[in-house]
Amino acid sequence: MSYNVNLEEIDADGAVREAADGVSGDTRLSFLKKAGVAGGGLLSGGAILSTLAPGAMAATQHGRPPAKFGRGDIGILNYALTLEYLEAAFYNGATAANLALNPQTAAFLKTVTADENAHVAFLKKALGKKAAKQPKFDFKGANTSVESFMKTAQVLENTGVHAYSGQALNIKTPGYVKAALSILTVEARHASVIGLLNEGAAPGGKEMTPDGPFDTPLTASQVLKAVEGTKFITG
Amino acid sequence: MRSESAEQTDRAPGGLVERLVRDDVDRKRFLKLAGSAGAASFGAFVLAACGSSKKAASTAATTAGTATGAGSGSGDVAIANYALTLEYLETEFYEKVEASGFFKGATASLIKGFGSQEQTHVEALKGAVTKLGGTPAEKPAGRFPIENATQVAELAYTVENLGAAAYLGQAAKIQNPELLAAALAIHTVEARHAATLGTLVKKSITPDGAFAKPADMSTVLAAVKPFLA
Repeated sequence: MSYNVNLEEIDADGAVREAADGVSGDTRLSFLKKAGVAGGGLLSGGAILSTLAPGAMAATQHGRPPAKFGRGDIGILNYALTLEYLEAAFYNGATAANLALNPQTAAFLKTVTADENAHVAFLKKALGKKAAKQPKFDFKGANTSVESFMKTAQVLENTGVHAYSGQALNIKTPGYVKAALSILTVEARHASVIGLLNEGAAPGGKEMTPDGPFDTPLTASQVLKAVEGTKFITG
Repeated sequence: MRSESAEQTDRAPGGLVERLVRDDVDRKRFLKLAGSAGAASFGAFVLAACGSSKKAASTAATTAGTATGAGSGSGDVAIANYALTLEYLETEFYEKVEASGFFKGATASLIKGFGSQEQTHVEALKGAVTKLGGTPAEKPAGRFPIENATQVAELAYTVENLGAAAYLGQAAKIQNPELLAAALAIHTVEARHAATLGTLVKKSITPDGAFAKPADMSTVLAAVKPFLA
């Protein structure tokens, strides 16, 4: 099993990630810029550090999903379900596309495909009859070429982190809070790994923790605006 | 039944920790101590809590019983001090890893970056404890096996997974929304570190599968014990 990013190589010459067929550039930022989120939309991580966050609180206490998703916790869960539908469909499509991925990225795809489909199944079950229907998607080739798949996956995973973080304090039912946080952890894990794989030879690890020491929550409208900007949801 | 189990746990390593799990009164005492102005003794208490010696246990119980002070009644202060202690240990661990010189180039800067983020978490949590009216726990003395690159990276993976699970285990218990927001913002970064390291050491990026499992305080403290000098 030859991994493209591994310790042996790191040890050998300290330049392991040259071996990863990474994609350079701050894909997340440019993506979000296109989507109109960067610039005023993102809260700075520093806000959390200074007095633990009036800024973060503003995002977490408000910023609920719009009424079309449902009321209260149902709305939040349906909002989460919609994002999970998007991720799952994106990865299912990538899997079907049989991309020529390096072993590490292939392993990543296998893990995330299983995880996101499990998140969809969980949320659908939790919502029962109130579950939102799966939207129609058109990924416009974003999951059928290696480079765009890797870039887009990183954006989607980080968006997932920001979305769950943004709703964590809005959820009322304790069981749902626990489930949402448990999923949030997993989204963060996915996000950092695809960040690592995308970072390629660039040192520093910025792609793994794009917000620095504190992840930033985003409001539902910020997230939905970013998602809208992708035009992945067609109906 | 209570005395039977107490007898058993006195003999078993980590007996008091197990009792903390079962015995609500002990757990409250622990939280009280951890959250008290006397939090300086947090590390010592962890040691005592994890030790098998009757004497250590009873000393800890006595100390816990008499502990009073600012914020002692607040579960949030205790939780923040608990997180602070874990972050202290992580920071020290990364310092030692960095000093080992096992890593070069990109990985060295990755390690350095992670360590510096842990240090920032320390500062944030110290601020949080103070803001909540408590006294920040003192830095415990750590003890980490630093043998070679693979072993150290695997240990880092273990430590970060533990950290992520520890935050997940406390999140639902936190009362203050600001502390919760901060804890969540830190928690996902621990998860990011863990999964990155998982990739580097060829271990699972999501060891619990699609749903991460929380770890309670007793479990985490028992796991941390070997890293306290």
